[in-house]
Formats: sequence, structure tokens, C-alpha cells
Amino acid sequence: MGFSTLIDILGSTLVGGMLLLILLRMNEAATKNTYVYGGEVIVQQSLVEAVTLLEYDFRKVGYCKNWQKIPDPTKSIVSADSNRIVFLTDSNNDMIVDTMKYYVGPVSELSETPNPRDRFLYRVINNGTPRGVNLGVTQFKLLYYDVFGNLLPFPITKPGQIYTMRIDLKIENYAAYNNEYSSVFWRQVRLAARNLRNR
Amino acid sequence: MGGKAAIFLVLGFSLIFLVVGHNFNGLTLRVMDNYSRYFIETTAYNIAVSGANLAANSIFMDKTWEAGYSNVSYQGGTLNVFVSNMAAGNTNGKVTICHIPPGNSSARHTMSVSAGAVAAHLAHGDFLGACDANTNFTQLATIVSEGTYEGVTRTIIVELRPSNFAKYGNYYSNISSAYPATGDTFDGPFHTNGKLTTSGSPVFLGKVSTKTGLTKTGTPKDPKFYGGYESGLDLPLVFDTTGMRANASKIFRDTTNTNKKIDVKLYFNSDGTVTFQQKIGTGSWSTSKTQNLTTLAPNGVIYVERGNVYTKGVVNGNVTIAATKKGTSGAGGVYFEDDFTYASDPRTNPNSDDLAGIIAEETIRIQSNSNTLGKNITTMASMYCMNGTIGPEDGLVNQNFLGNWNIFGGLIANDLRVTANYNNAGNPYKGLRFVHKYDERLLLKVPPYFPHTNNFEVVSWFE
Repeated sequence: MGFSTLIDILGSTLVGGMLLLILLRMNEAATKNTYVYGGEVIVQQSLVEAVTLLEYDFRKVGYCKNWQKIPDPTKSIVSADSNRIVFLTDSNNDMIVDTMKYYVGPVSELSETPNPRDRFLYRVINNGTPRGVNLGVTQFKLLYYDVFGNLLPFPITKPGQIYTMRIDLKIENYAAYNNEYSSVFWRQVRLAARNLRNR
Repeated sequence: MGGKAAIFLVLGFSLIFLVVGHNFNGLTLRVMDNYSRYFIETTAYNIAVSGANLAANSIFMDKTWEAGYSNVSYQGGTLNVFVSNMAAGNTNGKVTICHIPPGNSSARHTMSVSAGAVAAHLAHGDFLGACDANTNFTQLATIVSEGTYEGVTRTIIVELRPSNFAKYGNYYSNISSAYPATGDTFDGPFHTNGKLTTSGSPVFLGKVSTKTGLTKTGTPKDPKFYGGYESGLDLPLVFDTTGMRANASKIFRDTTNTNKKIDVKLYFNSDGTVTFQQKIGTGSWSTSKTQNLTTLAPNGVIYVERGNVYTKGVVNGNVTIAATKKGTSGAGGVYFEDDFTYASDPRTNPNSDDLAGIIAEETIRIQSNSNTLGKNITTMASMYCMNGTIGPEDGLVNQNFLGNWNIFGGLIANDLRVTANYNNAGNPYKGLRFVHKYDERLLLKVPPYFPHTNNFEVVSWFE
């Protein structure tokens, strides 16, 4: 083995080592990016699902297929708070008036997830057992406006004043790489349930 | 050997990069797909909403409209609207109306006309539907609006019905001076067919609508609309006495055919009977008779032509009393001689089926007499007064006593009437306080043949 051979071996080891380091670094970066991108896809999918459901339900406040069962739609909102609302609707279009409730649970309910801020979003129909969905909701905030666009202060004692609502929804993924949580935010500025205005 | 290894190394790296890149691209596409789907669905929904609004507006403008829209390009998508309008008539494309020849109302008859001719008929006082049919709640229009965008279709279904004046807790063609003010509470739907002027902070518990808007005066300028507010609704007070007469199953009139004024006493008994008397002109009162309400007026409509009605008692059943003027001075009024209540009180029994409608071409008054002076008065009815006001006679307004006029029902009139005297602080000190509670049954049920508005209203919006 001559000197040049030794140089070849050393050189190839150096190049091979550098390639290995690049490979390991790339693997880590790929893992991180996959995690982050995957998380963003999940939160955005969760957001679209949550928003679609919220819009579907909230636009039907005061609706019943048999309209005579809700003779005065202005009384359809039973109670309204900043993160909780109860209203009358016909959830499955069967001519039976249902009471639907939306609210978020405390963060302690999801202490097993790495994200310290996520909480259940509850959608309860009538007196059914509350079943939360963990979509990574970290904020579910409701604001209410009267017919002239004035913000109604809490507590809202006369829900019949509510003409439009603003819904804020923030969703984060429940686990993240290096605690770098992806988040998405959606705001419905003036959601008006048409049946509240009828008659 | 080394060259081959290098090639494999490059190929291996390329493969890894391709897989990772493909994965990232896939994730990005899925994110875009989410929002793209949401955008498409929202656009389809907006198209459908626009179609429903356009169709509803067309029906409001033309009660018989049912042409709909077919494959209209709209907002980059397609709009289809299907309308089923019972007011548009029968299968041969004609519209059934009650034709009232101008100046010859006794010749009224049911006829079918083409849709294009309906507007002209309505303009001269005809109304939709057969002359002798009670069209309340029977005619419904349904709009099905479909918005399609990028292959996604969203549907909105709107139902409309003819609206009835009985649904109003308070209706005033015009409020000329007695403006709703601080301390006033109005229950049930409220409408004025002019401008609503408020002073201070009156409370409206039901939905408020006006024709020409709202003016806030006083301090604070803060009316409370607990049931919402809408302006731009033109709903004139109309009075089809001809149709009512034809539908009445009991008519009191001058049987001497000399166009004399007639006075009628109708005293309702809690057992479902009515004790009645009549007086024609300056003659004497007839002998009183007592009959079951269902015998006296099987469909519940009692019509007094060219006369006044004096009434009191306890209504057991459904009745509408109409007093018309027909050009005779001093006629067309209804006078409550005492309390007018239901046998089964709907405030404690929501299933009560007792219901009364009081219709006067001129005024409705609480009579000032020994039964009413110095006591609280209760009136249960939906009261409709074409040209005048509803309220107590001056003797009750100015009596040295402060009581309550408890109204359970609705007040539909040309204008508001003061019921008490107020001090400088705005508090009543003599007369009758206006204590109104709306009868919520009137949202769904109306007294027999109570006047309808000749307009539609949206009752259900499904999306």
C-alpha cells in the first residue's frame, strides 16, 4: 500500500463521511418538514370541517321543516354567551324541533395531548350525552350584534336582539415537532341566520 | 468499481429527494384542495341564496309569479329556481281570483284570469283565490333555488304564505303624535306603515317593521328592539268589507231597506251562547234572544251593516264581529261595555281554542259607563280598526281613577290613541294604563275570516 493509496482511502472516507452527515441531516430535516407540513394539513382540514359544520348548523338557527312549530323565530336563540350558545333548530330536517348547544370544554379535558391549549368542541343535540370532538380547537369565541350592527354586551339577557354573529375559531395541531404548533384562524364576520328574520 | 458506486449513490440520493419532494407536493396540494373545496361550496351556496332572494322578490312584486329561472349563468356558475305558487292558479295556467266589479260589489264572483291580468285586477280591489274561500294559511308558495358551481350544487328552499293582520300585536298605519316613549312596552310583532318615531327608550318585544324607517328622539335615543327590526315593508291597511259580508254567517242589517243605522248588542256567555238584541234607526230594542254561538253564526262571522256593536262577556268559541259604516254617519264602531274575555284563559291554558276578532270600519272604544268607571278593564281579542283608533272613551281617560286596561291580543288601527293622562315626569296619574300582552296563538291561528294583508311573508328558509 503506497502513499497515494492511503490518501485515496482517507479522501474517500472524508467524502463518505460528509455524504453520511448530509444524509443524516437531510433525514432530520425531512422528518421535521413532514411533521410540520402534515400538521398544517391536519389543522387546515380540521378547520374546513369545523367551519363547514358550524356554518351548516348556525345558518339553520330557528329553522324547522314544519315552520308552525317555531311560530316566533326571534325566540330561537335560547341563550348566548361568548363561548357557548343554545338555539332551536331542526337538525335532521324531520319536522321535530331540536335544541342544539355549542360550547368548548376546559383545557384540562385534553391534558393527555402535548398541546396545552387544545380543548373539546362540543355539539350537543337535545339532552344527548355531550360528545366532544378534538379538532384542536384552542379558541371558540362568539360575539353578537343587534339589527343596527351594535355589539351586544355580555351577559345577553334578551337573545331576541341578536341579528348577526361573529364567530372566531382558532385551531392548532395537538402535537408538534419541537413544540412548534401550526395554527389556523377563521372568522365569520357577520353570520346571519335567515330564519331569525322571518315573519 | 468506484464509478458504479458513485452512480448508485447519485441515483439513491435522487430517489430519496424525489420521494420527499413528492410527499411535500402532496401535502401542499391537499391544503389547497381543502380551501378550493370550501370556496366552491361557498360560491355554489351564494348563487343559491341569490336565486332565492331574486325569486322571493319576484313573488313579493307579483303574487302569482312562478316562472322561476332556468340555467341562468350567474357568478361563474349556474342558477336554477323552481317555484310552486298556489296563488298562481290551477293546472290550465289560469289564476283564480275573486272579481269585484268596481261600483257593483254585490256582483262579485269567482273567475279565472291569465297571470298577466292579475295585477290589474288586484289594483281595483280584487283578491286572489275564490270569493268564498278562506285563503288564510291555505296558499303557500315554495321556492327551490339551486346554485351550481364547478359541479357542486347547493339548494335553498324558501316557503312563503299570505300574511294576516291578526299576527300583529300592534299595527298602526301612521303614528301621528302618541310616539312610543320611555316606559312603553309593545308586545308581539309591531308595524307602522310610515316612519316610526321613538322618544327615549321604549321596548319592543316582538319584531318591528316600518315602511319608511326610524327616527330616534329624546334621551337616551335608545329604543329596544328585542325581536329585531326591518324597514322598507309596505303593508297598507286594507278593509274588504264586501268579502267579509259574503263570508258572514250572521248579518244584522236594516231589514226595512231604508238604509237606517242599526245598533246591535252582543253579550257573550261563558257557556257558548250569545244574547243579542238589535235596534233599527231610532226604534226600540228588540226582545233579547239567546242562542248558541255556533247556531247564530256557524262559521263564527257576525257582520253588522251600517251599524254599531255593543258587546261584553265571555267568549266560548271562535268569533269575528265586524261593524261597517257603508257610508252611514255614526256607524262602523264597536263598543265594549265591560270586560271581554275568553272562557278558557290562554294565559293559563295555552291550548285554549277561544279566539275573537273585533273589526270596525271606524273606531273601537271601551265605553265609559257604570261597569267600566273606577275599575280595571280586560279585553281579549285581536282588534282591527280601519279608519280610527282603538281605546277608552274620554270619560275613562279623564276619570279620577288610575287603573289598567289589560289587553290580551292585538291592536291593528289607523293611529295610536292615548289612554291616560300623564304628569310632567311622564307617569300616568288618571285614566287607564295601557297594559298589553300579545296572544302568541295569533302567530299561527286567526279569528274567522280576519283580514289578510294581500302580501306574502317568508315562513321558512332552509339552507
